[in-house]
Amino acid sequence: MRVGIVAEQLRQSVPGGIGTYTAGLLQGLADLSPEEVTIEILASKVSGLDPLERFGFPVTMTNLSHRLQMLAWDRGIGARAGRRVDVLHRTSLAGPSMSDGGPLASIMVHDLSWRRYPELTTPRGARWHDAALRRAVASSALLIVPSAVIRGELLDAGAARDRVTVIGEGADHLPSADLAAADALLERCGIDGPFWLTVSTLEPRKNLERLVEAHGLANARGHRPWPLVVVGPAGWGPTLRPRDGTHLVGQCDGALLAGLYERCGGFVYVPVHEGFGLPPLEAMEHGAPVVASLGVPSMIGAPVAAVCDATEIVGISNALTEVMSNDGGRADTAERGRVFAAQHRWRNVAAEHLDLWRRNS
Amino acid sequence: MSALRVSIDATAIPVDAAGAGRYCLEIVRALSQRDDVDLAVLTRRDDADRWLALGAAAVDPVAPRSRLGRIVYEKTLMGSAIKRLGVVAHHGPHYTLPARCPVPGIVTIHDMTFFERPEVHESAKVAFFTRAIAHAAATASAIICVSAWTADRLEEHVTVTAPVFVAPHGVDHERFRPEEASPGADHALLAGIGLGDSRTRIVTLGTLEPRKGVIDLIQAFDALAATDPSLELVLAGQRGWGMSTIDAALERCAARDRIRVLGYVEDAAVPALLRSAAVVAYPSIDEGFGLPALEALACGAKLVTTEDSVMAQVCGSAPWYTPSGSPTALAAALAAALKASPHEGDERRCLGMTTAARFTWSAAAAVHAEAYAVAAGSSSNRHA
Repeated sequence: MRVGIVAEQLRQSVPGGIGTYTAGLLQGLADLSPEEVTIEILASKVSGLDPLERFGFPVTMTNLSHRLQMLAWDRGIGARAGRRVDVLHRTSLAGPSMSDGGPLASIMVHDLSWRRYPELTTPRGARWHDAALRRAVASSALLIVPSAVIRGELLDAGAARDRVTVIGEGADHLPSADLAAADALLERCGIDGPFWLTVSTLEPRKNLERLVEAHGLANARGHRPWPLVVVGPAGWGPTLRPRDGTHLVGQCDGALLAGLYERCGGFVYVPVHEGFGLPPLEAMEHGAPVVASLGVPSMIGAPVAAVCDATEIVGISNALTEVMSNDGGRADTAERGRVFAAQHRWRNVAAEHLDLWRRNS
Repeated sequence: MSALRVSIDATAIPVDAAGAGRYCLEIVRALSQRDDVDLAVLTRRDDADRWLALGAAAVDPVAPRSRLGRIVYEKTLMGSAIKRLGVVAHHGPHYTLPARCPVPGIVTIHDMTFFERPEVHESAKVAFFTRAIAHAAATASAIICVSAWTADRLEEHVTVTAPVFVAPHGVDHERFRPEEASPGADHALLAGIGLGDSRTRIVTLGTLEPRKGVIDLIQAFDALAATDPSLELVLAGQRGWGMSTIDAALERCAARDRIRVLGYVEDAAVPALLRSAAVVAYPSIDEGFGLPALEALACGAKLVTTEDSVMAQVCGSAPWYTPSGSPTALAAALAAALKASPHEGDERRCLGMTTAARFTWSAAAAVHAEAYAVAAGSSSNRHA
């Protein structure tokens, strides 16, 4: 079986969660190196050394820049991409249009949040996603989703039940923690004790406004205030106004992020809506106790330190206070969190993909 | 309805097919996939295999190998060969029909440059083809033109009584696309023809002859190369007629060492070459269709071509245009394409890929099948 993986997301300057999935899947496939399966990567042109070669798979390139590649796909160009392979897997809704007579197609649909919360997406983004989703649903492609929640939303959007498969994500993709870099960053922020960490793009869906508010409230009531470190690239929407004790540190590389997970007193993640929720799983992998809002799919059945309603500032604040005041409970949930995260390996994710492709080809 | 049995004359298609030869190969392949046409291909004695491989229903390999022998054959024995094959119509894909065609004939007219620009052709060919076109137009039961451009010019120069069909060429989208055929394939193919990755490459494709605008291109390149040391020019295509003037232009070129004259480039390497180009130049003075321009667009390349030609009809607003015959204007158009903003460059390249996607050989074959049916149906009144 020859499998082509559309890895264009890894050509983005900020690959984000979709990029993590794409790299994790490729790493998992590389670790498995399954017999009788050849993998190739499809992507746009880069000059010089191709970072995609780190996975050890051959890369088929177009002569288009990343930007032009995305534009071309949006206009339905590229229906003959990957004609040599038996399976063509798109790691997101962006990709070559699927044509009849081509390879077996599969598409990872990460979330449909633009439908559920149109006000939390840019109008242009919503239009693009809607059109891409309609094409995906109308095609004969297998649809993969990271959680049962998204499966339900996809069925509501018209996808046939037997075409949608849930495959969760892995937690073992970050490099070893760079504790020295983490300590240096914390020192620059003037932090020398326990702190809250959160990771997300600064965009409305991630609910950072309420989190900052709740954090302020918890600190005002608390006996021992913890600062809040926000990791993540600038996104869009109203600018987040940091308060005292809030540190926006921007984007961090994987090793620094792992260091921050290991150094933090607790990890908090309270999006209003999430397709999967990789950051709290990463936090558990690195031994951080986690506070999560209800309905984060990756945390269903997970040993969280506290849960809260994402829309209730007081509730979030209470959860933070509860965790800050329970030293023994934190250590216990952190340990159980490691065990939970250890069940989420990218090689298992890759094996589930292979299984799905084999069953359908 | 049973399939129409039609013969097609492939006796003049060289082994290294380009231009009209490529058309003939592609149309035989596309027609062979239809169930309403059964093709019998007339070929030279040594040339049956590739036509059978394309899916032709039958091959009649009896024509002599030499050019003169073929011409005599077409005037004498071809008619009886057609009769022997039991076809209902005969198609001459390159301007000519046999002198005594026992069944209704269909002829393809590619361009009218033998009438309009005799100076760009060998004089012997001008005499032969102007007569052949007039004969074919007068005796054909259906005429296929490769573009509306050619159809308009045909009626200016010869008397046309048969219905005229416009069947634009297709692009082989399996080969001509922005994506390389397999991982690392383009790099290897380019290395195979001696090309590396380092330079900013202007590519032109087509038989090297004056009407392709090659001399203008060499002069335009020389002007640009004087100020841009990273530029190189790649001329891909077999040596044609009038090479002495092209060779002289090459000799005069100050940047001669950055011009690569590749000769005939094997099919597999052509899309790789187009994909590697910073700009593809197709400054041809006159064409019937200009397929190489469309193939460049299909590969996602930037294209510079002539505004006063069929390319302007076919390629829409994707290319950067230049008037034909002006090296200065061509240099300016090449510079504009090379220095275009990423936004403009991407818009035009995207538009080019969309435009090229509309041209397929199966669409061309559908028009051919219709022309065959009309010609065959005319037999009662013309060939009773």
